[in-house]
Amino acid sequence: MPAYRRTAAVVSLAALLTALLSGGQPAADEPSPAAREPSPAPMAADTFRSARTYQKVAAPVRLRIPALRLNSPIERLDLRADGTVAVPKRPDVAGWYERGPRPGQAGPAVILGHVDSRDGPGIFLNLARLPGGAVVKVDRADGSTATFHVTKVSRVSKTSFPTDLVYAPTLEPTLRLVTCGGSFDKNRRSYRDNVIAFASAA
Amino acid sequence: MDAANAAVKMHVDHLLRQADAYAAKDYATADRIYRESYEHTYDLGGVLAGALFDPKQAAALQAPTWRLQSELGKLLGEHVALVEDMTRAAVTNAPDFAAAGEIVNSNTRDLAAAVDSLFGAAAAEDFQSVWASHIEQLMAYASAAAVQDSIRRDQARANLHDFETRLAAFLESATGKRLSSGALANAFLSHDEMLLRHADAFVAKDYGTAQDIAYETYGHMLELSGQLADAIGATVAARLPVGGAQTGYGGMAGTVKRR
Repeated sequence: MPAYRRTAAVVSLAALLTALLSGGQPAADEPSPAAREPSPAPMAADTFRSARTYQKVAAPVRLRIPALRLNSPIERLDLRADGTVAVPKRPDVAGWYERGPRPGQAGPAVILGHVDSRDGPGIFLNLARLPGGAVVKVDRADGSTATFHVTKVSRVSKTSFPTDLVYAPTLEPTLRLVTCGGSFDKNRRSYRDNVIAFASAA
Repeated sequence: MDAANAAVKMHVDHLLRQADAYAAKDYATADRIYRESYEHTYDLGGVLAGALFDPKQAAALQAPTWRLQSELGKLLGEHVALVEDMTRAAVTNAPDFAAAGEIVNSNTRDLAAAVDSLFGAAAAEDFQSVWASHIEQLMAYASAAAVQDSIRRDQARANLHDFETRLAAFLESATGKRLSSGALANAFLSHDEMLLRHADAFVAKDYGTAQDIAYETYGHMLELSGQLADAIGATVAARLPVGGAQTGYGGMAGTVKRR
């Protein structure tokens, strides 16, 4: 509260107390002013208890993107031994990087999916075509749903992958969807680029 | 400029609605709007910076390192502002104390949620336990100061030293010793000493001094939160995945290349 308001409240309270306590002289048979002085009001601060719990966010279990007609369970992904992020075992299932924030939690949650398999489409085949404003929903283990809106879709070379923009800690609840894109390097058996959809909490 | 106009209008709207709620003695609403207004002021700053800076400078403000500094500064600066407000209500035993306490608790929950995101649930629970002691001892001091109870006041001060040491140790560990517990404990000691002097000044009805200390405490916390954000950002960055993701096998290479 602004200081002047608090001061005004204190002044009002003090004026009220002064008026109450100065109302008339005591009669001879009344107790002395000291004896009838009310005990001080209990201080509200003495019973204050600070919060010791906070709203926890459950792990994601399902990804839904209506614009892509996508509805997939979510598996958990860790780091590989070489420090790169693990990828989903199946091309038709999305995966959440579990060392990062959970979707809807403060910070950037990251969900990865394959663009294709060796012989067909993957769950994120059409991620590069996701329009700005598209809705992304992530269902969580406790039955709640986090909703996001896509703000931007970028294609970047894997050799200059923007780790900070995708994974680095912030405290805004955001979501990144990551897959492959660009041309396919047959010698390395890998796409040269990644496609990243950035989304903010709705 | 439309965004800037809208942000300024919302800022004014917050302040007017907060004044109306306080005048109506609806302290819970007044404090809720106070918090919304405080948080929106950061958005307002971002919008104004975006309107005033050239696009390259404005884009740089969105870099994660700056975002983390800003967001952590917002939460910790808010802690200072709200605790000072609550202290004034505690000292005067004002009718809005409960509302002020609840809004401090909201800030505390958000801080714990942030620690959860950065370091996990176990760390967040440890942090919140230590932080709760911090708030409770500040209120114990304010209450004791108001009734001139020097024994309880000294006890609260001693308990705050315990908080300073414990939080410093927690952050030294969480940041992989990027911050030293000794320097952190000194910083938290300064933070507490300023808040105690603020309470004393308010008890003495020296409102000018109280206000000066309030500004000093806020500035000190913003500086400290910047150091914390740098260390936390570096700690988390050190364990992030390396490079891009191998999320394709080439079965649809012709289609993928055209997109």
